[in-house]
Amino acid sequence: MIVLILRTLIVYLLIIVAMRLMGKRQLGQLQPSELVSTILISNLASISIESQELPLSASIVPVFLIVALELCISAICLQFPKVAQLISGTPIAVIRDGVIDQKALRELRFSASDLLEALRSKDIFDPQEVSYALIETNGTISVCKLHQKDLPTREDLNIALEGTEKPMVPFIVDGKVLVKNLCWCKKSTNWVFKILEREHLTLKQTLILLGNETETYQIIKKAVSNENSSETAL
Amino acid sequence: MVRMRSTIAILIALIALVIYSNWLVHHVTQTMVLQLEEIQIACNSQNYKEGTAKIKELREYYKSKEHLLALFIKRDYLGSVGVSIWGLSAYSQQENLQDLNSEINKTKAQLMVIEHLFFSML
Repeated sequence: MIVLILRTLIVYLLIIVAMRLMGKRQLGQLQPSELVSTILISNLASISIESQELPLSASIVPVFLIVALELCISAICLQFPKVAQLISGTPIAVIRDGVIDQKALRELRFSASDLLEALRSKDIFDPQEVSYALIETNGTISVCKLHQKDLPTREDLNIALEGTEKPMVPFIVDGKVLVKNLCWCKKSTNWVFKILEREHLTLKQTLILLGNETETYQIIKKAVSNENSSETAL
Repeated sequence: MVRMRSTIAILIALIALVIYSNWLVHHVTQTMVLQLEEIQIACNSQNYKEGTAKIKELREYYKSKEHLLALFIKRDYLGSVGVSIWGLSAYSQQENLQDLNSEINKTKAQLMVIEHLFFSML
C-alpha cells in the first residue's frame, strides 16, 4: 500500500511539473494538439498508479516526451505561422453583416442550433445583430456586434472619466506585498507601510489592501477569530 | 526561453535514459544467457561443483541488477526469471541433468522474452 501511495505522489508531482511546463494555455481553451497531449498525459499518468507491476518509467518517460514535443510544437508554431495554421487550423467567419455563412457552417460541421447556442452564450439572441463572428481554432466563438446594436461606451456618451482609468488592484494579499502591482500604479512599499501605520496595522494583520494610482485605497483586516472581521474604506 | 531550455533538458534526459536502458537490458540479459550457458557446459561435463558455484554467481549477479531492470521492465517478467534462477541449484546433480538443461533453456527463453519485449517496436 505504501508503494501505491508513493507512486501516486510521484506521478502527481511530476504531472504538476509537466502541466506547469506546458503553461497556462493548457489549462484554458485547448488547441487540437494541446487537447491530444492532455488526454494522453491523463491516461499515461493513471497507468503506473493502477498497475503496480509496471515500472514508473512506463508513464514518466512518455509523459515528459509529450511535454517536450508539445513545447517544441508551440515554439515552432510561434516561429512559423504556416505550421501553426497546419496544426491548429485558422479561425473561420460564420457571420458577416448579420448573414450566416451556411457553407462555412457546413465545413465546420456546426448546426444552426450550435451557432445560436454559441451566440446565446455571448448574450446575442438574434444573428442579425452580429457584424462579424468567427469560430476560433479552439472552438469558441468571437463576436463583433453591429455598431447600432452594441452598447454605447463612455466615449460615445461623452462621459468624462472621474479620477483614474486603472481598476483597484491588490497591493497586499494575505500579508504579502505585491511589488509589481505597486510599480504599475507608481506606488512604493513606503506608501504601503505609511497606510498600514495610519490604520494601526501590521503586514501580518492585513488580508487585502486594494488601490490604484490615486490615494484611494481599501483595507480588509485579517479576522482575529472566525467571527471578527472588519473593513475600512477611505 | 526558460521553457525551451527545459525542453532541451527533458529531451537530453530522455535520450540518456533511452541509451542507458538499452545498454542495461541488453548487457544484463546477454551476460545472464552466457552465465547460463557456462552452467550448462559445466554440468554437462559432470563438473557439478563448478556448476553450483556458477549458479550462485548468477544469482548474485541477478540480485545486483534486478532493481535496475525494474526501472524499465515489468515486475512480473523479472519475478518469473528470479524464480527460475533460484530453483536451478536444486537440479545441479547427476540424476537431474535433464531437468537442469530444461530449466536453463526455460530461463534463457524468459530472458529472451524480456529482451524482445523491451526492444521490439510492435
